[in-house]
Amino acid sequence: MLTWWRGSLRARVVTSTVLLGSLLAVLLGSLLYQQISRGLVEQAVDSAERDASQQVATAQRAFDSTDRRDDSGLRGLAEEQLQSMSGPSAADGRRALLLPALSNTSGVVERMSTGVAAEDIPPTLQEAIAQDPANQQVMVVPVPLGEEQEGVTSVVVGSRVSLLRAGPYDLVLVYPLLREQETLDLVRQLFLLGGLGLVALAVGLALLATRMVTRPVEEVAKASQEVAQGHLDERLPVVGNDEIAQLATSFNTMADSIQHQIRELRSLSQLQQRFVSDVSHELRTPLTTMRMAGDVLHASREDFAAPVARSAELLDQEMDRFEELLAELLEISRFDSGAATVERHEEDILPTVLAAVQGVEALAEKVGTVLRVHVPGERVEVCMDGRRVSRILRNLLTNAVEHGEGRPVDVTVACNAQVVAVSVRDHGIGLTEEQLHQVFDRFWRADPARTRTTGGTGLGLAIAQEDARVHGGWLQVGSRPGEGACFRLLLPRAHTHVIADPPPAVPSGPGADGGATAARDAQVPPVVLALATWEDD
Amino acid sequence: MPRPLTALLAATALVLTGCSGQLPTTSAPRAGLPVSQQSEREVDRLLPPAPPGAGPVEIVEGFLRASEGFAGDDDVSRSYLTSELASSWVPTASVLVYTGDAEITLVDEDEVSVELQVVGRVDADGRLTEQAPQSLTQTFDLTEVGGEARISTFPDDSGLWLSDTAFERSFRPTVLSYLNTQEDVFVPELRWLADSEGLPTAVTRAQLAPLPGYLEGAVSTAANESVRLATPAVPVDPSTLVATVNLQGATLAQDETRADGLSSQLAHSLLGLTSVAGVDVQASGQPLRLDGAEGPITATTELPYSDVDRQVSQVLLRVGEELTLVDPSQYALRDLDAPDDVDLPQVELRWTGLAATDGMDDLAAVSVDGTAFRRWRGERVYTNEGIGDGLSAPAVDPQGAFWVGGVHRSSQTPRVWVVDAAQLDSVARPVTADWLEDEDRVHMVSISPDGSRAALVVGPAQTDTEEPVVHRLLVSGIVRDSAGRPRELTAPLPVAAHLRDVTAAHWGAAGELVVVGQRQGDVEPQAFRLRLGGWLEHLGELPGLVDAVPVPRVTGVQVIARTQDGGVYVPEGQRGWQPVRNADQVVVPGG
Repeated sequence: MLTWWRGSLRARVVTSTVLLGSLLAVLLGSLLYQQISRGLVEQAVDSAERDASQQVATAQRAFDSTDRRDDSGLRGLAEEQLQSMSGPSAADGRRALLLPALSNTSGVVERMSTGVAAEDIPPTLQEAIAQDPANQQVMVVPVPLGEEQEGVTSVVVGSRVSLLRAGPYDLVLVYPLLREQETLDLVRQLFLLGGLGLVALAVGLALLATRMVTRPVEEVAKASQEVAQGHLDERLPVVGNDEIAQLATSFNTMADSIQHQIRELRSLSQLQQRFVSDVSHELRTPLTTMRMAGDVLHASREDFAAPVARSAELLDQEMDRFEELLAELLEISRFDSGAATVERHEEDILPTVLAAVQGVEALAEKVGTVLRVHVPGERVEVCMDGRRVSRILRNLLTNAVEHGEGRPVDVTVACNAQVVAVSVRDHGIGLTEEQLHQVFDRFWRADPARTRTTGGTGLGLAIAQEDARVHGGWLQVGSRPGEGACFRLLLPRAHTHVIADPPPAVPSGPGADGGATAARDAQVPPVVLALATWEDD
Repeated sequence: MPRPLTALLAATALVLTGCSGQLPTTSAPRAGLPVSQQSEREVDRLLPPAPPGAGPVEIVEGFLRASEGFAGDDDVSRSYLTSELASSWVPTASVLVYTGDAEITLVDEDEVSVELQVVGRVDADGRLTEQAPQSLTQTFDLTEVGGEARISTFPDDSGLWLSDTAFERSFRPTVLSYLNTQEDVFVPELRWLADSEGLPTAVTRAQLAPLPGYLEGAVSTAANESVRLATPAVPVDPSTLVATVNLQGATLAQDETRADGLSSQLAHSLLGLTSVAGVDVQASGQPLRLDGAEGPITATTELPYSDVDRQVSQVLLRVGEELTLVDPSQYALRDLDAPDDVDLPQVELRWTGLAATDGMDDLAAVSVDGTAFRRWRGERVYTNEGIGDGLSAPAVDPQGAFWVGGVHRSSQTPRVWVVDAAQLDSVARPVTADWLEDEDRVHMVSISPDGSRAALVVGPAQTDTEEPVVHRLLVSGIVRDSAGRPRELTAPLPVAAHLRDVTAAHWGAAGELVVVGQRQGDVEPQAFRLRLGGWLEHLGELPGLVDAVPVPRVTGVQVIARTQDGGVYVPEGQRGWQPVRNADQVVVPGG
């Protein structure tokens, strides 16, 4: 309910309008209705009083002018008089009642009536007449008439008359307000119809108004969504110069501005990439020359004096580093410009893993690290670019050995039908929370002060992540300070699929023995696969 | 739910209960307009109610005294009766009028007899029947009610016992109006109705009742069974004195002639009351208006009918064979010069009972032996000897026809003939009068001035017995055919039945006769004035009276009397006669 209420501006506006409109209509209608009904009754009472006054005068004169004084004569007189006072038709018109006054015990003429029962007249009326016989006594009460069980609201006018020797009598005239009731019913029907019409009108108006407002807002929302999805060319039509037009104009301006900035940024980025690429390329040629010159110097170092020979050695070393850096920069710039090419083939990953391990064994021996490899017994066919995967693993292993503090490094390969996971776990100092977020950033080093024994460029993990990404896979890290770090490479085994959502976090290892974590690393985490949509497909 | 919304919903609920679809009602009565028409009637006769502890004789005596106030508001007479009798007592159902004092005797402890000298009775319709004073014993039964004696049964279901003076006080002679079939004139009928606020109601009720038997066919009334009072009361507005007669009748509004007739009858009768100055006749609440009239009828001149207005300015005196024209307005009946167009014939002595039409251009008489009928018209004379025997003196009706009573020659049965005015030698046409017995003899005929009724003096055929011959006075309606010719005499109403003998009767006005007759104690005939339906009025002793003729005048009916010895007398003072001329006959033209 609440969600429905909050979910639609239109529903809110229409409901509020209808509720308020109905309330107003009901309030106004009932007020008018009451006024009308009161007016009808007042009018009827007025005319009833006047008619009764005339009727009573006529009746009194008739009573006074009779020539019969015996009971039956008086009774007949009263009866005929009552008859003549009753309306012409039974359906409506006044009814008459002759009741002995409360003080009258003569019993000469018993009470008589036409079309109305004496019991239906409130006893208070006769009491009022007894107290004030000089005036009419008027009431408006429901009086049952004839066979109708339900009372018809009627004006009841009681007056005192004198019936010769029979004594004082109360002549009660009943004026059924049938016509007034009919009028009121008609008015009520009209009010009801009018009210319904008004509410319908309110609904229509509310719908129209909200439509006029919400439709452009919806368009803006849709356009915003489009823009958010990257369709920066989406614009709103501007009609007129009202608030909606202003909104559209503002939106368009905003979209223009965003598009402009994005374009600018993109061109800047491209510029930067080209710059990097160009610089790398441009540096290659002099570097080759320098390399050749360096090699010559290095080859003939023994001919030089000891300090010069040392310089030639340093030059050679730095030349290597420079070359490596340049190669990685070129690789990164290829990724950035989307020019990286992947050549995936169906092949067993295990030899690649073992080759990578073998590649760092020398370094491991140097720092005293034991490399423990856990692989499945059978082949693990993966459609991959062996060179890139090999580079990833080499990078990871080098890092693990460098930061492993001499403790063992576990390399675990796990697979299922779709995915293969390669975990490289060290048990070194580990990474802080902040470092975890920066670990894949370019040129980031875990400890800048650390001696560069292996001469890392700071681009390795960034390139490794890009390599995993171009396979439709993920490179993740899990670590806690003091507990070592675990890098896990997840690759889809078929090139037709990619791992869509980020896989679960990598479990952090508990200790150096690594028994439990090794078992955990041997499990392929649950992942969501999606069909690959390679741009080159 | 937010608080404002709750409050709003509560307010709405309150408002909604206000428009429940029903009209608003009130819980307590409140005063409206003042009741303007309070019953305001003064008590005009202070009569004592039944005193506590009174014995049966006192109760009956008190009742007879108090019953005079039967029509008053403070109707104390009912306090002398048991409640059952008081409830059902209709005083006007039958009224006994007595003269002198009532003699009250205690017969038993619950029975009281009253001896009265009854002189007349009034029936429920208000018709007075005068009678010769006659002693009558009435017995009242009494019952103890709460230790007090009360009258429980009236004798003979009679209603009211009034002394003649009390009767005069509490009853009013009222004239009902019927319609003449030939002319647009009213035919009056006298009724005695209780003088109270209810008099207009009683008059209207009587007016709406069917015609009395003797007038059926002779006169008409616009009332019939379908027309009745919507309310059994005719209220009179105390300020304008306009009586409102609200009638119910299916065809009244459609039948204009009848509505006019009925309006006229009611208005004429009601306007005769002093308490009514205007009459508003309504049919089912809608006023019935006469042509061109606006509002209530306030004068009889507005009506399409009028009273019979007959006046005579010349009277004929017959002396021997000579006829003399005299002026009745003059005290001594001075002679008048005969107008040029009047040619009075010589009437031989063998012709008697002379009658003359209004213009005196047509005269008729019968022979002394009653076998021949002669008419004079100017110079021309026609004698008809074949009508019958024992012909009575001719009478003239408003159409100028002569009426003669007599005996049919072959069957020796009484007959009444009419000789039309048209031709001098018109034949005498018998008029049906089935009610005449064979041994009846018609001694005199007189036709009312409107021609709707005939007064007949009828006696038995001459017998050899020594018993005195008794003549009755009868009034019968004249049924005419569509051409206005008399066809039948209706079953008659005996009039002045308490007169021992009637010798002559002449119509003086539409509702009045001058009668010569003898009461119980009279030794010789006397002259009386009789309003039909009223008391007989003695006109004073005149020895040797043989005939008295009424002369309708502007001032009223003047009577000219004639004695055996040929003296002509005119009234003097209340009951005196003054001799003014001598004549053998006084002939009133048209009478």
